[in-house]
Amino acid sequence: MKRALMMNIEDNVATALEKLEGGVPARVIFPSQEVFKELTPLKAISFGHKLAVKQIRKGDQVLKYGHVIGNATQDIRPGDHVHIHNVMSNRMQMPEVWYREED
Amino acid sequence: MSELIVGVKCGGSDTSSGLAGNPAVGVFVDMLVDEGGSAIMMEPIEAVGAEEPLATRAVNEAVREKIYKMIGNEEKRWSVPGAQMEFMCRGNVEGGLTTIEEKSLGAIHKSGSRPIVDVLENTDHRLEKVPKGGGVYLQDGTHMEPMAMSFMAAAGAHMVLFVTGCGGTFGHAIVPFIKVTGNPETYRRMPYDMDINAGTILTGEESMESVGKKIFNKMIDVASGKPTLGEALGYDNFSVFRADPRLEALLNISK
Repeated sequence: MKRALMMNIEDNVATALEKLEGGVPARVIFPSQEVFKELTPLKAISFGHKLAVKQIRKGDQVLKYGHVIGNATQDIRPGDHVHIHNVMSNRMQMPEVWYREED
Repeated sequence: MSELIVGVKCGGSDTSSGLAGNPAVGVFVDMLVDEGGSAIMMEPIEAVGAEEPLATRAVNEAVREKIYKMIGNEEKRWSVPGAQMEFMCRGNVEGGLTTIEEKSLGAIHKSGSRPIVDVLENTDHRLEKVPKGGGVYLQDGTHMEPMAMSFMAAAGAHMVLFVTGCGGTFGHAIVPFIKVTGNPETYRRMPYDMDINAGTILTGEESMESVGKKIFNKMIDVASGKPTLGEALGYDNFSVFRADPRLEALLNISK
């Protein structure tokens, strides 16, 4: 089974350790290799990209490494791709043209 | 070992840097500091959003304030109204990094977990060196790799550990550069230029601790005179960064 890495128990996202196929269950693991849960990505997730491991509501904090990496700009379902199209930094925004090209 | 000063830097980051390359270097930094050595990290922009975990490691309140001030100044330089700048590169985003906070929280892993002894000042008038005594230091300066290396060398670094996701084809004329990649694909593409493969952490073949020890052993080899792969390839880049004093004044940046 393909794997995604969740850095901290508080996190609501995990990072794909290999390309995950949409609709094919993957294993979410911790750095200790311990399994958090099995989760089915809603679409293909590229290596290094994130997927939600919990329901995230619009405005919620997105957590990785146990810290805030931004806030959700829309509701994100477990298994969905989490990236610049649905997360916004609280500090510095990227050039707008990049957002339009994503998803 | 207490004489050794090692710089840590990352560039060409993708998400593997925060998950494997940087934490493995962090394991190494903890080992180095526990043996009495010193480490320097220069990442002013890649600390934006990661102030809190850094500040909680400050040895005292004065250092804590210096950490916030250095990072706050850098954020001002990158947040000039009407001048949108690419503080993250396209490759970062394609690699899966979403925000500066995510990049920063991954980047600071390479400084390990030991207390931060001080922030080294670095202005037109003064460049502080790493004092004796060992420990982890932050250094003010720039995120740009060859220039950051020059500053770290000037502060006393004997070598620099460079963590990369997508690769970085350069070295430095003064300090040897040990390259570490957390991306298994990058290691497969560039084995002749990547001294350490930390991609084995992501494939589950090796633990963070065992890669940290490998880096430690490589550092001993290089400190004993063995060339790094980049040195063998003949990389000898060199450049120096100078902050624009007019811009600093305009942005009301005090040091």
